[in-house]
Amino acid sequence: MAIDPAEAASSLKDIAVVEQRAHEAIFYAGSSTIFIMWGLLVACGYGLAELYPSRAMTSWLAITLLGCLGTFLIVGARADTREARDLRLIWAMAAMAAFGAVWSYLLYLHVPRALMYAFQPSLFLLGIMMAGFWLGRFFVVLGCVGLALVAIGFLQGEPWLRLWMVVSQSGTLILGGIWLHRHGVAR
Amino acid sequence: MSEANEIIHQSMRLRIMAALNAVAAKNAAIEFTRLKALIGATDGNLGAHLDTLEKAGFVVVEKRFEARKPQTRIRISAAGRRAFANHVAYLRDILATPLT
Repeated sequence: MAIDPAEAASSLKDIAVVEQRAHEAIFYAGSSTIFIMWGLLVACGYGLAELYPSRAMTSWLAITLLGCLGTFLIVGARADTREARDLRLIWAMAAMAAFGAVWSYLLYLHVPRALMYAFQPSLFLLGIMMAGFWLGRFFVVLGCVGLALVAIGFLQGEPWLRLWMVVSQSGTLILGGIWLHRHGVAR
Repeated sequence: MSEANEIIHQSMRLRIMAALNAVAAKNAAIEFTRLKALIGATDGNLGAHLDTLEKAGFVVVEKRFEARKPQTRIRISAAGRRAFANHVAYLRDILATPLT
């Protein structure tokens, strides 16, 4: 069987395309649990802030730490190769979450509440959208949809602001996680 | 120099093997529908090529019921992984060999 260089190059290109899609699908499946977990945590955060408004800052900080810890545990449990154990992306998201948490703490007494409700999730969703440039189109779409929903909530203001934020943010993350689960490939 | 593998070299079968090899950690299997989506094949086309690869001993096809629904899962065999690696090495050799 003789294969000429053009055919060999075309075959190798085909293989690279399929491998890229497969790695994307594996990443999608691995990310789904993380997204669903964050969706539930965000819902809990809003619930706690509503029940104990004076401790809202503390409860959000605890939620963020819990989410970061859960993310590291899920990634650690799933990783089985050196490549998969590359935690740079998770560290980048953790740095962004810490940045948002610190500035939320510094700003919350000085800026309108609606702005506080929009700031941290916008930062997080921006991170997801930017990560999508490397990880796959779905993350770009998810980030854009989430940002649009947060902007709509911010512009409409009270009395539905908090309800809108909890439903749109948790909903985006949970539905996104379910989509990732359905379209990913578990390994 | 490695040798070409005529069974694997066919375009669709090459894509099947590439996808299975990429998701093959811990001998994991992939669902028929997911594999179909990954490589852009139709049901009939994928089924026929999987038959060929299974007869060659390159893939293992498992049929089972999950929540009362039939499910077909496919995984690459050790022989399939070796054959795929050899074929890829052969393709790379062709590109690396200067034309005379």
